[in-house]
Amino acid sequence: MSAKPVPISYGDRRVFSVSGFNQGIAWYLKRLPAVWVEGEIAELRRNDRWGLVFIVLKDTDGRSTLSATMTRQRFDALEPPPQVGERVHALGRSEIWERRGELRLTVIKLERFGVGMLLQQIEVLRARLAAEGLFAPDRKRPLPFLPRTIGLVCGSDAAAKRDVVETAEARYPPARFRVMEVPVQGAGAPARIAGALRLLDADPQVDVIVVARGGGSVEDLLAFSDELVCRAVAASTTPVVSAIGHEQDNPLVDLVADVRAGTPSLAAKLIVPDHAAETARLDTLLARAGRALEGNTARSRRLLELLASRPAFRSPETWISVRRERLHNAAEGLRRAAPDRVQREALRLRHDHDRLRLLGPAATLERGYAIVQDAAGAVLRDAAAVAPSDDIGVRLGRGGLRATVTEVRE
Amino acid sequence: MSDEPTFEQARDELEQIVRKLEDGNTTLDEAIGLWERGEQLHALCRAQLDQAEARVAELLRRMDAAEKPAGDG
Repeated sequence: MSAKPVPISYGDRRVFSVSGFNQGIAWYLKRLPAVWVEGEIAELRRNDRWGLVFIVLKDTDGRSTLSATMTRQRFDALEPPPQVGERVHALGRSEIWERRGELRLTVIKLERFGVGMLLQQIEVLRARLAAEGLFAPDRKRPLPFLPRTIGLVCGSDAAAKRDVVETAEARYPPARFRVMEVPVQGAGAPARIAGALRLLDADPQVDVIVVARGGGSVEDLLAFSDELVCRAVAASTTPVVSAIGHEQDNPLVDLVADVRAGTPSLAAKLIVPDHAAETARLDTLLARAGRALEGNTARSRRLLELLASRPAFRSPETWISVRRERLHNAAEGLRRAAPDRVQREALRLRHDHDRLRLLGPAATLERGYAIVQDAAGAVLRDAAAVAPSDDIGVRLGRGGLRATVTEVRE
Repeated sequence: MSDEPTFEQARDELEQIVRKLEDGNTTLDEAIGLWERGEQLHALCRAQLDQAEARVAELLRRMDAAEKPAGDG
């Protein structure tokens, strides 16, 4: 619509058609330079099928609004995507939507402004530090159970300092602090905070460092998302607890710190044990140990008494006498056994002998008969079996004779 | 077997002889020989038994002598 519209003349009245008017305005607007407009995003309509993103900007007081468009390509290049409610600086040209006669800003460049800009910068730094591995869980160090000295970095005369110190002392009265008061906001704050951190880290008495700051706006907490501070925390060999703002605030230092406490008083609870609770626990343990020991001793004593009351213990002579008795019985047995055996054998022998005598000729011989045997021992029944001067044996009732034959009678 | 049979060997032989004689299947000559051997075995056993008896008696006497002073009386 570059051509300047031509009006229709009614007498000396020059009249423009609607489109002619719009074209005319567009023609004038095109001659304006691109301008920066500051506003808050009140509405945002983006659709994958549309080439343009429709934005409504407004002043913070909400009284004036301005429609704006931006190519989807440009809009999508913004990281992170702008949100409704964010304050932006938009560089654009004024244009009129000719069919509706509506003025709008064609945005060439959109930048976050204020908090939005700060958050964007923080986001970029977060991505960079994360890529470096500064937030890695394996970098986190455990806090000491009982720190000798607690290093505290905080603003001068800050409520955060009071919160940490008072809560810690309530839990653990002997808690000792080394407090570094530094500016916590403003241009010089990050360098001062980082310096305080390094100083406390160098102190061998300091076993844990708390970085504390009360609540505030995103801008107020900016120093705790600063790269200098994040790197100082990462470099610290002493464990660092971050306690910045309120629970919902998430400055980058929270991610680098070994432990993130939502608030300063929460930090105090993390760094010192509850003295009363620990003392009570110790007392309970001690009492339990005492009872257990008492129980043990009583049991042992009962057992001992039981043992001592047994007859063997009460009269030690019994277990001697019992053994003596047993020995005595054994000896008795032995004494009986040997003669018994001899007796038994003697009896058996006599019995055998009696039978031998009964079967043998002893009884007959005793009555006066004799057995005569030749020199070979054969019993003689016939006198003709021997000749004079032969040797013969005579068996008598008791003993025997050796004789020589002098005569043989047939 | 040594020259001197043990008491048990001698006694067993003696009992065998007695059984043989009781069977009555022996000739008179054999019976007389067995009887003679039996008497011999008997004398042997008797002597060993007497010896054993004497040793037992001696031991008992010594045990009594050792026990008396330590005993309960």
